[in-house]
Amino acid sequence: MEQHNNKLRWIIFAVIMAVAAWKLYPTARMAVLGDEGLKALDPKEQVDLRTKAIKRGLDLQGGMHMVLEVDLVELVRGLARTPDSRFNERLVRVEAQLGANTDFWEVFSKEFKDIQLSEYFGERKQGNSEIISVLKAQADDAVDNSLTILRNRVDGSGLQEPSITKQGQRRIVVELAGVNDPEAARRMIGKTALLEFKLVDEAARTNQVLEAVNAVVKGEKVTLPVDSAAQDSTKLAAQTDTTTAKAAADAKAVAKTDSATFDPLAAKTDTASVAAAGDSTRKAATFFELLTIFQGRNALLVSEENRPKVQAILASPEVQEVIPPTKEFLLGKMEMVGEKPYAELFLLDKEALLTGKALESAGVNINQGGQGANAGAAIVELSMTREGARRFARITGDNVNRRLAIVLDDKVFMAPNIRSKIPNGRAIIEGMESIEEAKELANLLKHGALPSTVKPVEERTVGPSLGAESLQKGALSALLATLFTVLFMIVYYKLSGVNAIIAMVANIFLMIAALAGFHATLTLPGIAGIVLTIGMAVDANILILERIREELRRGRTVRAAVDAGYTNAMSAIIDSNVTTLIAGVVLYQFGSGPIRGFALTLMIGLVANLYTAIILTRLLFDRFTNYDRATRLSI
Amino acid sequence: MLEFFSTPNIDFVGKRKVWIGFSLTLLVVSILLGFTRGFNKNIDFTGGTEIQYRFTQPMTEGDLRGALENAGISAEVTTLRSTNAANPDWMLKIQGSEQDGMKEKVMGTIRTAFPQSGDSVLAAHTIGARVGKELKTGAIWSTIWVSILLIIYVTVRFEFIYSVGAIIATLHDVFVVLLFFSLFQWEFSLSVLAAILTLVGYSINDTIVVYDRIREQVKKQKGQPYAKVVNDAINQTLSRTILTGTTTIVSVIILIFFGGPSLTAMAVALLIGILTGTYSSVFIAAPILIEWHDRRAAKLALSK
Repeated sequence: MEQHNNKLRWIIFAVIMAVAAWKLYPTARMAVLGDEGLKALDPKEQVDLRTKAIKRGLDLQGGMHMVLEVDLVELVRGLARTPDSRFNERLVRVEAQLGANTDFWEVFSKEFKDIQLSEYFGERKQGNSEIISVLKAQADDAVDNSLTILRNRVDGSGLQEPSITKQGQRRIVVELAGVNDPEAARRMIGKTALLEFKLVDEAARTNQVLEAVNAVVKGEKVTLPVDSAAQDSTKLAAQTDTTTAKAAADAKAVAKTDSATFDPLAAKTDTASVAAAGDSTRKAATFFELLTIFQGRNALLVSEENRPKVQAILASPEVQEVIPPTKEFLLGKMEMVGEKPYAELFLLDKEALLTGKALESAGVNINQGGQGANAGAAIVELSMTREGARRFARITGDNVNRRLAIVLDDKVFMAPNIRSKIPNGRAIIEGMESIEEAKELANLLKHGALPSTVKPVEERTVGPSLGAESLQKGALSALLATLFTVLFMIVYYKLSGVNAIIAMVANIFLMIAALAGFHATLTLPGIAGIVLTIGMAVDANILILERIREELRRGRTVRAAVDAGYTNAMSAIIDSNVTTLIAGVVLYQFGSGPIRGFALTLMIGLVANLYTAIILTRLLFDRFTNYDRATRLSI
Repeated sequence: MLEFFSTPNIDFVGKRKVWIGFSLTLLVVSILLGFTRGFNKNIDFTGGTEIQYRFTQPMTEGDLRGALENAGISAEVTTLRSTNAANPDWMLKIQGSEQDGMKEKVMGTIRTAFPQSGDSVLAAHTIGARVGKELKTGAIWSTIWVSILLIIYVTVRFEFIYSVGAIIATLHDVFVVLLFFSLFQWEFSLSVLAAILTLVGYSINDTIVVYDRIREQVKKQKGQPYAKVVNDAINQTLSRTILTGTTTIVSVIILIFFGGPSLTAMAVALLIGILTGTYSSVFIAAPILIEWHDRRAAKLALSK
């Protein structure tokens, strides 16, 4: 019976270790590859590895961490129609009462209890609670809108693994790993957003300009600047080769054109030309080879890996010369087309026809009247100011069937088609994929720019060299702590100590695997947590081994002493670990950023410890001690 | 068999009134110091800017401070424990809530004053004052929450009085760490706070192991004087207390010496806490049970 149970336990142990090894594999592989090796991989594989491996915190790899917060006081002040001295006084009193756990809106409604808020906001008939709920929604919008704008900026800025998340209700946390120039990043995040409407050029015209650009790139006066870039261009040709093969493989959604037959109007590029694309890449890289045509939408697409090259070519002075001075090329948002992300390339009028100021409001609705696929889809309704409506009528009247791009920070957010003249300044935008997308757009149109009420409250930058040093020192500490504990246990407990050591090593292994499994971020305090856990991990074993010694002293047989040792130590182990776990959970709840990493490693360590110290060591004891013969235990 | 203590029989509880009195004094001193002397809170709590510098040319504190003062910046200038004693890294700290553009101002000043110094910013941190205020409230709340949850758990698994003893012993450890940080004005940062909250867990862990043995011995040694039972339990767990203490303390000391400057303060807080945590399990948590038990017994005797 005992024997049978142990067999099952060994199997469970093997399964647990196998799962742990599987979870750790990407991390190990990344460590072996190093930065250079990683870059050589296929981009998709790179992303895959990065998401599956343990993420290093900004304090270990260098980068920038920024917390932005909506200033609600400022927001309310800004929204008030005629803030008089009474209003401002009350608002100052609200501000004074704000603390960590106070709810702004609670304090606000208390302070303004005896004042008709409709004097300052909304309509006359609205009660205070109604107005407050509207203000609340405005504040939420401000945060969401900032998120949209920041994501729009960071996406395509060439930064690796940018993370932009909402924290609580009014904070945004921006984490940019491996930023070399924190000043530039800060400028990028902090600048005021610009929302403009620009006219997209007709396809034929776009094609002419592209031909000119292509000619420049093909010609001897190749535009890629200086020597290093020349090397780049050869690499570029090689890379295009592989992507072409890939594109041909999933040619259903995307077809790659080759330079000879390129024509944006020939939307029905057939599969023959897709096959031909492979041949043309053997020649010197041309601009057209970096572009992909999307048949369904008649759109020019740029894949993620080609984007930097396209941008570099378009920005070079020689190419700028052939682009008409009133026009500019801009890229759209990255979107999944088929299996890969692409951005659409637009040729636009440089001059904006309208800015975000022309808009009065924007909202989301469900299409009632549309037919077929459009019925029931989300739409964005917008209305213009009086001046905006007048200009909008003229613009739409002159440009029916052209596309009007909504440009945010020099990136095309969306480019809807103008169907007919819109005389009254009330328009709808169709073709949204989801209600969320519609909300995002409406929010953006409504608020336009990054509201000035969103301010940075914390900024932390760590240089890459310091990050690497910290990681090295942390790893060294962990190693030394492990070594000491190993020696100590073996000297003190001999072979029984070896059992405990095996358990401890398994514990560390499981702990790191769990970090990978939970997609946790390893921070410097997290490493401190690991080191502390190494010291504490042997505690359960010390409890057990001391008990066994006690029982042996009383003259029990080896088997009875081991049995009694485990049974008697159990309650102490469970109670002491659960209490520590409780402290860990609270620490995790309270903590932010790096502290959470510390609490998490501590908790994972405790749970893994319970398993390895109780179950695994017992298995080892049973396996390697011949209870029937043994009269002495190496302890 | 290598043993530090095979069957020790040391009287730990005889002088319990002395130990408890000593610890109560520490507690009072710590609270008084906390109010009068306060803490050397870093920018995590006060708001401000911290910039960590490395120069290729060795610098002096006076040079750096002078240059900053000339630019109207009052900064705290310290060296960091570093691998290079001849040319250490520097930390510049500017406290206060008005920090807009402070980092750029400092960097500009240093660059202009020491163009040949080969300065590079290793890390920088700017934080608003309100975030710090939140941290403080958060820390107090989490201590309260840990205490409540532990009282519930320990009461269920042991008895109510055990939870009182455990909490007192734990708070004692927290206050001793605070005492050190206040007395020596060591820098109190967010990671020190995290270390203190972790100590709450460690200290309880240690106390519970002793309590577990007391719980067991109370059942086994019925009729024996309570103080003897408790003292036996302490002696029986003594070798474990010392062994676990040793492995943990050595790990933390390794962290102090090899973990790098960012972890030093945290590791120091952990070290003090683990030392007092080990002390308090034996000399505070267990004696409290005896005092309570004796008083209750006296009351029962009276009411009869």
